[in-house]
Amino acid sequence: MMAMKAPTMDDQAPAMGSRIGRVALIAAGSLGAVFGIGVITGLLSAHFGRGESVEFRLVALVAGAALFAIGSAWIAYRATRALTRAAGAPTARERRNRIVLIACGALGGIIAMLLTLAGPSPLSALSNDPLPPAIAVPLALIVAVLMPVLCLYWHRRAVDEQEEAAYKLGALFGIYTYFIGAPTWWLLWRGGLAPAPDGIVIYFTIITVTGAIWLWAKYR
Amino acid sequence: MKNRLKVLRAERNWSQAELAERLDVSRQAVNAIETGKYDPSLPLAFRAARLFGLAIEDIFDDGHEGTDNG
Repeated sequence: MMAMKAPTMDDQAPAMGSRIGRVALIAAGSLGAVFGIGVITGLLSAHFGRGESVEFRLVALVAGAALFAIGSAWIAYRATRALTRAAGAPTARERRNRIVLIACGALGGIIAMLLTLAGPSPLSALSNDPLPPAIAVPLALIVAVLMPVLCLYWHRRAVDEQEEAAYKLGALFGIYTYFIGAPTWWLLWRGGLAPAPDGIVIYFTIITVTGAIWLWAKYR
Repeated sequence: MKNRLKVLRAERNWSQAELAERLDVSRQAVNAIETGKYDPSLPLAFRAARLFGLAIEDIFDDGHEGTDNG
C-alpha cells in the first residue's frame, strides 16, 4: 500500500470561517498598526510644531497609541503565522505575491505617515486639508508611477488565475458601488438632503467593497 | 464542476503545494479547484491533463454524459 504524505493543505488548513477570520485579522491588525503610527507621528509633529514642552498628557497619548500599534501589529503577525503555517510552504508564485503585498503595505504606511506629518492634526491624513507641494508631488508620484509598476508585476508574475478571478469579482462589485453610490449621493446633495459628494470617501468605500469581496472570493 | 484532482494527487503522493508548484498556481487555487469552489480555465485544465497524462474529461466532469452535437 502506498504511503501517503501527511500534511496537505486540505488536511491542515483551518476551516473556511477561521481562514476568512484570520485574513480579516491580518487586514485589521495592519490597518491598526499604520493608524497607531500615524497618530504618534501626528501628535509629535503637532506638539513640537507648537514649540511646547513635553507634558504627561502627551506622553500618555503617545504611549497609548504605541501600545495600540504594537498590539495591532502583533495580532496581524500571529494571524499571518497561523494562516501560513496551516497552509505549509508557499509556492514561488505565492512568495512573489507576498512580496508585492508587503511592498504595497509599506508604501501605504509611508503615504499615511507623510500625510499625517503634513497635516495640522493626527486625523488630517484622511481629510481634504491642503498639502504643501513638497509633500503632494512625491506622494502623487508614488501613486501614479510606483503603484502601476507594482500592479503590473503583481498581475503578470504573482497572482494566479484563481486570485485574478477573485479580484475581478471584487472589482465588479467596486465599480457597481461607484455606478450606483456616486450618483445617488450627488442627487441627494442636489436635493439638499446630503453633504457635498466627497471624492476620497467614495474612493475608500470602493476600495473597501472591492477588497472585502476579493478576500471573500479568494479564501471562502 | 466535479473533478478527480485530489484523488490523482493522492495517488502520486503529492501535497497541494507540490501540485500547485507543478501547475504554477497557488495552494489556494489547488484547494479551491479540489473543493469545487473554482473552475479552472481551459489552459490550466490542459496543464493539469498533461501533468497527469490524462484527457481533460478524465479529470474534470461537468455532469453531462456523451456528446452534444445538436
